[in-house]
Amino acid sequence: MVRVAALRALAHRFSFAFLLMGAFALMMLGKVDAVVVDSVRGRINDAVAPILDAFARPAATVSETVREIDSLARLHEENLRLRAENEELQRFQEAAYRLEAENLSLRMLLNYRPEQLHRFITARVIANDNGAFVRSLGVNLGHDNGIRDGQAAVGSRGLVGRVVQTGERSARLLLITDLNARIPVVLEQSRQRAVLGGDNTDLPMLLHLPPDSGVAVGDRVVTSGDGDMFPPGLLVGMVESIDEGGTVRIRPAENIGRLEYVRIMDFRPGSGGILLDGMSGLTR
Amino acid sequence: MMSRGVLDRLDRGARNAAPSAVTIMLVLLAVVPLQIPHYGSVAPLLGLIGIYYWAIHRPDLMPFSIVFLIGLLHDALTGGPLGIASFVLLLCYWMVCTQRRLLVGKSFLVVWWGFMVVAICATALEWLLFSVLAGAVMPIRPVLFQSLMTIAVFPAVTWIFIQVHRSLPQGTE
Repeated sequence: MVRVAALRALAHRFSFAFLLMGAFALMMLGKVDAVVVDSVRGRINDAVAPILDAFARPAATVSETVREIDSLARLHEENLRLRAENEELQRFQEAAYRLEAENLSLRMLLNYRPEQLHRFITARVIANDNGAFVRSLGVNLGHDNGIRDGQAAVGSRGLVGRVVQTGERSARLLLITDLNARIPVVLEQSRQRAVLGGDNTDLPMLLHLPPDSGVAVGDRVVTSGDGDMFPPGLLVGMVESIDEGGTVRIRPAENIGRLEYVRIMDFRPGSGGILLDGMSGLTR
Repeated sequence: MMSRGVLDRLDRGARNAAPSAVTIMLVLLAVVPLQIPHYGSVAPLLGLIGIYYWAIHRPDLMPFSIVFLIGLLHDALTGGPLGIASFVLLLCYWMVCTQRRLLVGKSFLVVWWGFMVVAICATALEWLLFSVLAGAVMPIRPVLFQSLMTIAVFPAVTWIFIQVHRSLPQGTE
């Protein structure tokens, strides 16, 4: 009897050492062969995706209801604000129509062929990464739905991130605020090129910006399309602050903490990803 | 009589699996998008609370292999390098198991205080491993926030575990 207990204790201790070494080996393997580890990760995410999806729906409903009640209380102010905004937008709309017509006639003059329309598919956000060091989102569509690594993810207002790992029925997006995110961008007004670099805060920075770039608070930042990572001209955000050290911070156009759906865009011609024919992207 | 016996055993089995199941559920719940701004940057390590509670009260129902799996799940869901959370949780679990005589049956404040030490050690180790693997010094602020947040939600999560604990059949300790 004593012997059995002793053996059991030994097995117990051995399993601890074994699993600890296993965890360590896994870390090393991730460093050496990221592909294998990514496929393991994809499997796990695929397996729990339906559960997360089920959780995410009521969570979204609750937060929707809370927001609704919250807005009821401020209905009057909101109404006034919207009326003012509407007036302003109508002015913009007229300008936009004029510019569109002008653009069209200039394109015809130059015989310009517009780039291919982007195709997209809409995915539900099912997991919000809460790690201290990574900013990413999990979505409920994967390889089976035509999602491939490298595709761009946009919300209703602007760029959100990029697909970095796809399982069969789930995928992971690296957000533009992540420490490892580097996005070629251009300042819309001055056409000054730069790189948007996240640092895990809510406000990513502009890197490699020359000191005399003339950047100002409120400038719009859009993707430049360099390196074929993202389609050109996607809104990323606005310049939020410029400090004395020359650090320029961008507020993302999309409220990343509140995303419920994202559009995954396939912009590379012939990459054979998303299949939705006849669906146009941002260009229309 | 026979079917009664089978049902009893099923019931017992389900109850004995409850500690691991509830802890895994919490790890899943922790990543559900709650649409709360800034939530992501300070989300607590709910798995760690589960590991700590069961290491003190019923280590027989939380084998090392489950601790390893909880860590693996956490890493897979949060997109960190696989293995880090497993490593940290296993070490914490082992540490608490060896010290559980000091904590079992003590007042809640003592247990909370003990958890504070564990949470700080765990997040510090996580930070260290992450920095070594990334080959760069990671920012320390999110880690601080995370450990504070984890310590702050400890009472509420522990309350859930106490409810589960009460429904468990008596074990051999």
